Amino acid sequence: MQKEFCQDQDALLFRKFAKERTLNKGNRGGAQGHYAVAPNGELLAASSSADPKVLVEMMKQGLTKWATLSREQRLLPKPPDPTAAENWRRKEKLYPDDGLVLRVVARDQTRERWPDSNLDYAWFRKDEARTLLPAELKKGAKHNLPSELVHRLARFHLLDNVHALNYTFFPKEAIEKARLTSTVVQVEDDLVSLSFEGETRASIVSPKIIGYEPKLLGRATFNVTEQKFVAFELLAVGMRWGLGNCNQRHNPDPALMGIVFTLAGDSPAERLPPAFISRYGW
Amino acid sequence: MTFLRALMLMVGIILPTAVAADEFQEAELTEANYAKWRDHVLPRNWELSYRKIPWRTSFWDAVIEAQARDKPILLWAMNGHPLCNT
Repeated sequence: MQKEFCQDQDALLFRKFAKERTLNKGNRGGAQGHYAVAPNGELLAASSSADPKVLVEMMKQGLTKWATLSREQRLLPKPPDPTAAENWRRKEKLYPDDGLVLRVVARDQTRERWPDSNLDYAWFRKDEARTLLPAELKKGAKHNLPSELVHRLARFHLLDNVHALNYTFFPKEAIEKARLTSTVVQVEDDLVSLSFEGETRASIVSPKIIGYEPKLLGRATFNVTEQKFVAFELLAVGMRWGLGNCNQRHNPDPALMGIVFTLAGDSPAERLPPAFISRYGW
Repeated sequence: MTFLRALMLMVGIILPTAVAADEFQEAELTEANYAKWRDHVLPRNWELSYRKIPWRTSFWDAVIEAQARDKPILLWAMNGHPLCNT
């Protein structure tokens, strides 16, 4: 949206005020920050401080300026076209309505500094979600999940983003181990209870030394009639090491990191695409 | 179009300012400490308080709504989406 090549209406409007600041306290660089703007892109106030007091001050400043503007000064001359920002929709349209959507949370065992956890999402299409279970749903049945799916988890989701998003993921050749087994532990009416057990190891040495070697355990319940998971937990815990490109990790020493996958909700915020959805091959 | 978006049409944000450090000492994952590790990693309620705000997840959605309702927009822009991976 900040890039000049993007000519979508939302990007053009954003670039009218991006990087402007009306408050300069503890600012971070670039276009990151908080902006109060009128619907026509008229800047009311802006700051990029993480201090909530500065944010409150900015909002008050914005509302004060808003009150001085005439209708013509604050609104677009005609209603915005809902289809004029389709670039943003491309990934959202891949949302697997009838599949499996997981919230992914990562946290260190021992807090290095604040913030110490981050959030992402993992998506599975309906056919992929079904491959998490054995073909025959009877107690004791075991099933090795498809290698492709476990590799996808290891490459794009078992990552150190605890302090901040790292704009890199593990390449194919970094995956040294990737195994996940599901076992049917109970079948009761329409509900099949599963356990998960597995391990992965991903490691690169160039351009940076970075890796993660977790053990995985989990449990889930699948509704056979509805063909969907009604409960899901997958927990990865293991040593991470190295520093990312921009994940704000300052200590490269090996340390334990945990990552939990649970069912996502269905609010708009819970439908945001995974960071590396474009690498899924969908 | 890899950056930014998210905004809200209303005000009222609660940000955590100070948190007591955890003293979580569990080592490698086992069936015995599974629940402790899970609960350690999962967000506390206060960590999710900002998500109670009905943010619109794209800037354009808010522009459309703000224009129709004649309201100002509060945009929170980060490298990465503020509501998930930032």
